[in-house]
Amino acid sequence: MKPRLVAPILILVILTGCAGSIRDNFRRAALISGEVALGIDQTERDVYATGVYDDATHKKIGAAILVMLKAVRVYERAVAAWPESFSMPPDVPTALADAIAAINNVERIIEGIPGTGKLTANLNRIKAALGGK
Amino acid sequence: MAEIQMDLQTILLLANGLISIAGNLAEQIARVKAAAKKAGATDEQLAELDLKLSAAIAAREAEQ
Repeated sequence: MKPRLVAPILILVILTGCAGSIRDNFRRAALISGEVALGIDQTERDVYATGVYDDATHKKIGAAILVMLKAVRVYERAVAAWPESFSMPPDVPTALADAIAAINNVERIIEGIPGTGKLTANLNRIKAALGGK
Repeated sequence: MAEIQMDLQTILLLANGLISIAGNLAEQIARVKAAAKKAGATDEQLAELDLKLSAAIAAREAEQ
C-alpha cells in the first residue's frame, strides 16, 4: 500500500473506533465529505458573487473545485459499490487518497486569496471527515 | 386515604433510587443515540449525493 494511503486510512479507523463496521464508517465519511464538497462549491460561488476576486480567479478556483468534486464522487461510488461483508476493495483507499489530494490542491490555490476564509474552513471539515491531513 | 409516613432516611433512599434509574435511562438513551449515529449511510443517501455531485460537476464543466 502506498505510504500516502496509510495515514488517512489509519486515522479514519482509529477515530471511528471499534463500534460500527469499517464499511459503515467509510460510507458515513463519503456522505459527509460529499455534502461538505457541495457546500464548498456553493460557498465559492457566494464569495465570487461578492466581487472579492475577478473572473479569472473564479475560473482557476472553479477548475480545482471541479477536480475535487469528481474525486469525491469517485470515492463515493467506490464506497457505494463495496459489497456488505466483504473486505475493502482496493479502489476505495486509492479513491480516498485522490480525494484528499484534490482537496489539498484547492487549498493551495485559494491560499492568499482574500475572502476565502470560509472556503478554507470547509476544506478542513472535509479533510477531517475523510481522515486526511 | 392511608397516610404515608416516611422518615428522612427513607425519602433519601427513594430519591437515590430514582436518580439511579434516571441515570441508567439517560445512559441507555445515549447508547441508542450513539448507535444510530454510528450507522453507515444508506444506499438511498449515497445515490442522492451522487446525483447532487453530478449536477455540481456539470455546472462547473459548463463554466470551464
